[in-house]
This record gives sequence, C-alpha cells and structure tokens, in this order.
Amino acid sequence: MTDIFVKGGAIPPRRRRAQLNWLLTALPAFPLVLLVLRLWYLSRQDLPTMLMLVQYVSPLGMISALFITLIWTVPAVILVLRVLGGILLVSAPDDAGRSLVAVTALRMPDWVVLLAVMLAGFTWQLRLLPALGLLVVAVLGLTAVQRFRAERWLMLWITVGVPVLFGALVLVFVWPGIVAALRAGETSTALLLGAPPLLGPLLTGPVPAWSARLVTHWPAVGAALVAPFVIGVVFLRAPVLPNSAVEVGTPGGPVHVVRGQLITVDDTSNTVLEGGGEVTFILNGEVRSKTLCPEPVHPPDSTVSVRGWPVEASALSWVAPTRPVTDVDPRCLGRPLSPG
Amino acid sequence: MADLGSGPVAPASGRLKWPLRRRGEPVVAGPEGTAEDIAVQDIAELEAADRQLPPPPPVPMADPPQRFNLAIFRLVGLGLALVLTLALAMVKLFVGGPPSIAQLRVEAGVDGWSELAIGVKDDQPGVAYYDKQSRIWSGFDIDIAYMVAEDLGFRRQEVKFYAIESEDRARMQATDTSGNRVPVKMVIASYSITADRKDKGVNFSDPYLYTEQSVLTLKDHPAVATFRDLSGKKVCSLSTSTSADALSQAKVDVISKNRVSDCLGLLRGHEVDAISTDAAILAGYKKMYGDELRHWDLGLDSTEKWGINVGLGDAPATKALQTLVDVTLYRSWKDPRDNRWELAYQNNLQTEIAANIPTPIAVAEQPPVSRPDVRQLPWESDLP
Repeated sequence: MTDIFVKGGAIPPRRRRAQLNWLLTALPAFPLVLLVLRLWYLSRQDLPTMLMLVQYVSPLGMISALFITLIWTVPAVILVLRVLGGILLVSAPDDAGRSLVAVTALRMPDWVVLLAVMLAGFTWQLRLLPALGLLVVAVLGLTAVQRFRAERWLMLWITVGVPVLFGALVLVFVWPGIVAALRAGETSTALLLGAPPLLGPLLTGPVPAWSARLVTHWPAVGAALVAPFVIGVVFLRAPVLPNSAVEVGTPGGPVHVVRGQLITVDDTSNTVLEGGGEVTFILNGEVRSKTLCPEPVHPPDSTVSVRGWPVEASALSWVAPTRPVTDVDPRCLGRPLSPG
Repeated sequence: MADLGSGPVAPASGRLKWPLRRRGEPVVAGPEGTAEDIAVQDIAELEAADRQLPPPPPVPMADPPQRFNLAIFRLVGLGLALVLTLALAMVKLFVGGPPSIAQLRVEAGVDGWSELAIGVKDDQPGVAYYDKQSRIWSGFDIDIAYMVAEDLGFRRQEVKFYAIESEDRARMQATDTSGNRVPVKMVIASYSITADRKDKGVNFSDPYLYTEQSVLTLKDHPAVATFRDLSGKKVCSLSTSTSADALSQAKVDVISKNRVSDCLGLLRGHEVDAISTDAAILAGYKKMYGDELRHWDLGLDSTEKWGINVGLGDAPATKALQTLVDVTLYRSWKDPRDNRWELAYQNNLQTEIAANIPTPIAVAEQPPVSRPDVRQLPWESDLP
C-alpha cells in the first residue's frame, strides 16, 4: 500500500471508502461463519464429528435452513437502514455524509425498498406487521421531504395525512388483538400492535439537527453490533438435519430405538448423530424400521390472535399449505413400534 | 506510486526520500513554506487586493421557486394508493357479506349458555339410550350431539341430555328425570326431515344420517316385503312419525304410541303384529332381543333423512344456530381428518349390522352437506 501522508479529518474519505470495501468483502463471509459454527455446535465441539458432518451434510440443505430461518431479517435491515438514514439525511443534510447509514440510505434504489416491503409483508409475523406499516409510511414521507420541495398541501398529505390515515386503519384492524393481549397480560404484544400506528406521523420529517446523529447513526451502529449475535443465536437453534428414529435389532432379538439425526445411509450402515453428540453406526441388516420425527414444537410466546390470525403467524404461513402434526410416533419417544 | 496531489511541495524531510519540486507553477506557501515563500505570497495577495473591488454584499439565498414536478405527485399517489388499498381490503373483509362464525355465535347467544340442553330419545338402543342403572347416555344421536356441542365450545360435562317424546320434538320440550318439562336448545332425536315439518316452521340442520323404513315382527311372522303384506294387521308406529302416513295408505290398522319401547311391549305381548319405523331404530332392538324378533326390509325407495331441530320460527338466533350446526356437519363431512361421524357410526350402528343381516340399517356414509354460507377470513381455516 501507499504510504502517503494526506491531510484531512480523522479518517479521510479515501480511507473511509477503503474500509467500506473491506466491509463488503467480509459480509459474505458471515453466512459461511454461521454455517460452520452451526456444524461445530451440532457436533458438540468434537472435531472428528464435525469433520464427518462437513463430509456428509449438504451445503444446499444448510443454506436452505439458513434461508428459511433468517429470510425475515433481510427486509428488517434494509428498511431500518432506509428510515434511520433518511431521517439523518433530512435532519442534518450537510453532516450526513459522514455517516455510512445516511450514505446507504441515499444510494439505496427504490426498488430494493419495494422488494424489502413485499418480502417483509409475507415473512414477518403478524405482531411485526404494524411496525412494517410504520416503516413504509416513514419511508414515503422521508422520500418526499428529502427529494421534493412541493406545495404545502402535498407535503402535508404525504408526511401527515398518509401516516395518520394508515395508522388509524391499522389500529382498527389490530384493536381486538390489543384488547385480547391486555386481557391476557401480554403488554409487549399489545405495545407491538398498538404503538407503531401512533408513531407513524412522528417519523416522516427531520429531527433537530444537533440530535440527528445521536438518534439515527448511533442506534444503527448499536443494532449492527448486536445483530450478528441475534442472528447467530436464531440460526444456531434451527435444525439442519432431519430428526429421525431408527428401530434396531438383530433378527429374533430384542428391538431398541435409536433417536437422533440421520447423517447418511451407505451400503453398509446408517450413520446417526444422537442427541448427546455421539455418532452411531447401525448396520443396515439390523435396521427394522425408520421414521421421521416432528421437530419439538417451540411453544408460542403469545396466545393472542387478531381477528382469528395468531400474532406469531406470518402471511406466508397461511398461504402455504401445512401438515399438522398428528399423533406422535412411539418410535420418536424411544419406544419400539410393536413392543414384545 | 507517490501521488502528491495538489498539496504543497513537501520539503526535504524524513518522510520522503526524494523531494520533488514542480516547476512553472507559482509558489504557494503553506504552513510549511519557507519564510521566503510566505513573503512572496503576501506581496502577491496585497497586489491582488489593490486591483479588486470590494466584494458585493452577501445576498440571502432564496429557495428555488416551486415548479411543477410529476415525481412528487407519483409519491403522493402512492401514499393514497396505500391508504386506499388497506381501507378497501378491510371493507371487503369485514363489511357486508355473510356473517363469520364469531358473529353467528353472538347472534345465536351460544356464548351466554352455561350448558347445552339437548333433547334426545332415551329408549332407542344404538340411537339414543339412557341406561338407568349406570346413568349413561349412549348411541349414535348422543355421539352426534357431543360432536355438535364440542364445536359450539361445550365440554362433555356441560352437555345435558333430556328425554323427549316424538310429539314434543317440534316444540322442543323435553322431560327431565323427575318429570319436569325442560326447554331444550336443540333436538337430536331420530327426527326425519320432511317438507311438511319444514312448512310448519321446524328449522332442520342438514341431514346427519340416511336411513329407511323397515318393519320389526316376532320371529314366527310370515315374511314382510311391503306394507301391503301387513294390510289388516295391527302395526304399532310412533305418533307423528313419517311411517304412520305410509301405513295408513296401505290399509293397515295403525296403533300410534309415543315411544318405540311402548310398541315393543305390545309386540312382545302379541298385542300388535309388527312395529314400523326407521330401520336404524329397529336395528337396536333386534340386536338387543336377538332371535326373538325379525327385522324386515321394505321395498321402499324413500330415504329417511335425520336432521337436527334447532328451533321453530324465523328468529335470527335460530337461523344462526342452524348455520353453526351445519358448520359442524360440514366439517365432519368435508375434512378427511375429522372422523367423529365415522366413529359414531362405527361404535353404534356398525355393531348392529351382523344381528340384522340382510336388512340394511342406514347409509354407512355421512350425507353430503353443502358448504354453509359463512365468512372466512383468508387466514382462517374453520371450514375446510
């Protein structure tokens, strides 16, 4: 690298751009790190087990799991960046160039925002949809303030009229849910449903210039620091191998059930990763039967539903067909299918 | 490699090994210029200042004039579209159209009932039978009643059964064990749906069982294939029963009783020659008494369609309850995972088939139910 002494601020623009390039280089590595970490976690930190998992686990399967588990975070990042950067841009236009958040928001194409909104509409849980509405009206209002200097009534409509009307409609829709949540003592659910429609009109214009950086740039930086941990925790819990139960027994002998995650089947044996992290090889001749076990269902945090729509369900989940989990196979509980 | 830009010419310092000096450019002194450079620059600036006029007074910057901009209208239109879309979607979902199940429940008043009173027969084994010793209600109608009650949100202990006579089925007045008259919310008592009963204002649900008429005699009775085989004989039937009408056409001496068990007493006491009513009812007695009785299939193509009576008249509450009951029947018919009807049939009627061969008892399939007109939001799956 050149070793040039250039005058300027603390980090001159050229140096700052170089940092951004490095960030963009490192960003794709994050999912890779997550995938490897997931396998390490699955192997209970045992290197040989992890290497065997690497050998057999399909990268496509892992990426599918990553995709399904984390798809909702993509629009969240895009929209929050757009809104926070937009506020910074309209509040302190001269100073905004120093913040990566504002630069990103300025350069973000509109179609990216549109796609993010559509993706979020399908993949976010109902309790987050009022927040999505808030982000949408905020983006509309901020775009108008940032780009146009039109007649007063037009600006008033887009920065006040739309958020107020939209918020009112959302409130009408979620009102039964708020009442139910308060009755059930779920204050957080009630807040998630009821607060965003009220906040909409407040996020469509500038904040005082002195506070702009404090309330936009630094929260974004904080979120960026916390997000990898949250995403990591969410993903480390996601299953990447199918839960199965295998009935094992020599012909005529007693039968027992091995529960775990089926890694692979080859011409001599079935390889199963058991719950404790140990790998079991079962000779093919000893396998009596196999079954797929349902994932242990994470009990919902909230029992509230808005007009029959459970707050933890996303629009995608009622559009897509589901298979209700019926009776649990006794093999999944570790008991042979036909005892004795 | 080294790009010095337009900065001052660096002096020979430790940072750069080979100091460069550009030629042909005016010397501009920076903070690091030599004293000579600074002096030259000062003179140059003074000369320049002498030649120039004082700068004009600053003019306040005016906002650029507003001009017509199509893009802002697009954005405004987008906001309008957003609000209108949400508003129209909500109007479409929640205003007008058929009532939702929640609205039906409110209209029918179901949520205010602490228990569900249902009028059933108490003397028809396999259909609805009350065992006085064990105090257990059992039978097909009882299981159907539990199915409806479950969907209405009543637990089993909240369902109260009351014995009801045939003539009281339209009035919905039952009798409790101590003989008091009790109004019931619905009647599930082997009650056939007929046009005549509908005309009189009885609100039937969709049918829940198809059966047919048959005849029960003692075992030494000659074969019966039609009602004409019984002409001139005494036949017991239920009052207000559909079979009583057909019998009177065939010149049969009809003796009407209010309870099938009364008829059975007459038959076993040789006071009547036969009992005629629905096959599903008679099959239970045939199974109970075995070889003592014979169950004859009649060559009738008319089908008895049993329905649930939810009340008389055109009150909105009654109509709402009717729709709610239909929703249960529709679910049970349409949803392949909902096997409550099939279990009810299997446990109560299927078990009687062997004792009644060759007489058919009932259609072993739930009668088709049309989809009730109920609003279902896109995310709901109340109706399959």
